[in-house]
Amino acid sequence: MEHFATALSASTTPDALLAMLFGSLVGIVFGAIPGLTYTMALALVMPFTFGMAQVPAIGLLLATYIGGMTGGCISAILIGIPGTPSTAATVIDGYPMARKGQASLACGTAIVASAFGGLFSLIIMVVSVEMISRVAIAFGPAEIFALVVFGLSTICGLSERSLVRGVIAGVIGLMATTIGQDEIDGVARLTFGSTTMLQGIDIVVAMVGLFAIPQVINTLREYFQGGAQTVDAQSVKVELPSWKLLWENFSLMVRTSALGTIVGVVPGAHGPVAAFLAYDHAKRFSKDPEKFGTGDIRGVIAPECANHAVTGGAMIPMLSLGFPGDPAIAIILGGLMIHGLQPGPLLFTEHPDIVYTIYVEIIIGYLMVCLIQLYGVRLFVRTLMVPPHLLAVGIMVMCIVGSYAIRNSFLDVYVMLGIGLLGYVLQRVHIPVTPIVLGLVLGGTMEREFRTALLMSEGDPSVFYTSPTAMLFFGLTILVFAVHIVGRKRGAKVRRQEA
Amino acid sequence: MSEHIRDRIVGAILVVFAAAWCIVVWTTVPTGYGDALVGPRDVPLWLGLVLAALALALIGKSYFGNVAETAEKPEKAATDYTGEWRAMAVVAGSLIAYALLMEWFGFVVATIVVVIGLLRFALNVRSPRLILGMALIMGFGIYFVMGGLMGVYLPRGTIVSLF
Repeated sequence: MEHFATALSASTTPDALLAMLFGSLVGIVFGAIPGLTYTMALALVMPFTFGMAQVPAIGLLLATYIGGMTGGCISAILIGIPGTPSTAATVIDGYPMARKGQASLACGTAIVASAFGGLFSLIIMVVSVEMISRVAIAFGPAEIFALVVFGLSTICGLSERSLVRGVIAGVIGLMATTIGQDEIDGVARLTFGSTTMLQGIDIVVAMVGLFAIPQVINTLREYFQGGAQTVDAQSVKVELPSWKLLWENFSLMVRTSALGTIVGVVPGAHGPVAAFLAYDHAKRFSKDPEKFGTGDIRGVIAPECANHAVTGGAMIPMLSLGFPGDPAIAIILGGLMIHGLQPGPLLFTEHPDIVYTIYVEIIIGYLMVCLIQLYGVRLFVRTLMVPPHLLAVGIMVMCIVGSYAIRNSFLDVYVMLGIGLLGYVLQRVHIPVTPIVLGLVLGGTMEREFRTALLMSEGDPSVFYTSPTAMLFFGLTILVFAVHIVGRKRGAKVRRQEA
Repeated sequence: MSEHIRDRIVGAILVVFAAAWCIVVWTTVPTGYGDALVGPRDVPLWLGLVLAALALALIGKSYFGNVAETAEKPEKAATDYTGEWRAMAVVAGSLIAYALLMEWFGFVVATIVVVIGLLRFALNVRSPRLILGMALIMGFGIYFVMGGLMGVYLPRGTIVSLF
């Protein structure tokens, strides 16, 4: 309690609060703009911390991270383009809600769900940091591979009309991740001699193309066909989530936050995995799964709770073991080390005050980001007042800026355009694009961990079926596919009988 | 075009793509170094084979599949493809032109030219105030906010480098 009081007092000084406010704003802006990432935001604010004292410096980094994670939902809901890969699952129901005039309700709920998920995972982190660290260590390449395969099972929930089409899309995404330099042997794959292509297809570039280009084409098509949507100012009303709505979904929030925390602990499994798993969980265990995808608030709550619960989970191995779970956490780790702190078991005994400061600053960061965004919802929804064809022009400019800014490469711009046109064509032939994103997110990790597991076992495939954890995930994957196939067959039978 | 026929065409295209993918992977990707059981060639090759199998399943389903399932959401008859092709051409053409102009003349000039071109000629917007205002705000606004305040690198031109 003494450490907590000290940390609270240190974290609420004007300079610490100002640093966190700055970090929150930068993070939100970077998160909300498709193509700009919170990892980029962290790299950009890092130099500001050099001249700062420890507490404001840590606060700045943490608030930027939290703001960046949260900001992505704004563009996902308002314009149907996820600001970060973690918010790709939010588009599925968030954007239809915006189209129905419930943009502010969707944004407000996403913001509250994000804060809930983040704070929930923080509580888990405080209570069980040592136990969860042991779980994190227990995940070797075979177990991570099995978890990623389980993550792919969410394709079942994302396959709109037929499982085959969904899996085709997922495989296309996985194939795209094999382009570029092989991570293990270092050989070039499908680069056709281009050195730029050695970097492979960036997930953010692909995501901008897949979500933004079809959106822009559809808007312009409607405009050219004379059926462009008119903007109804009344439909853009500000409506924030009620206590009743949150209470009704409280159980879902707790379940998906717990799921996100667990996924966050595992190195290599990040926000997008948690978000897709949570979306699938919400849909699978709901009484009316057919409502998902049409603008159901549960389709916003589940992924937002889970992808923010990842923050707490990801902090656990970083603080207790000193290894980062994702690139953004690696930058935060670097920031701590610059300020003379070495995350790891000794941090808890040598600098308990700093550990508690991190806890307190995460709480303040979430509350600050939540308040800024809830206040900003009134401003954000005004985006929808812009006539769609003019908004489409703005989106095109941002697509170019976002895809170029990732690696300062014009090739990425052409790749984004190519992927976008492919995404549009696939949508027209009823192949869903969201599983492509899932494949892109999971592909690299899946191949790397699969091959690493085999290398470590000297080619012995029993490494996959002798691990109880891996077997558990494989079993769950088979179960999910089986339940899905049986469910579809029963549904088809009922429809035939009705016909 | 019925859904079954479309599925067969899509399936056939995917089979051809998967075959081409496998051939390119087999001929251009080395097997890797050392005696690893799975090398850099294997995973892309397997994925190509899986895609081919799924595409064949899609074709097979169009012949033997469940009619009730495929008829679940009848497709709206698309009567006007002109607007669709026009939209695709506008998006593809303007983004390619934008990227090329940006490479040659830098972000600000390219943005102003493309936004004016899009609004006036593609979308037929008449108001000069709207066209110029939007072009200048997008060009200079994004340049100063993202390039100046946020530290995001925006390209300078290789031919003309004003900004």
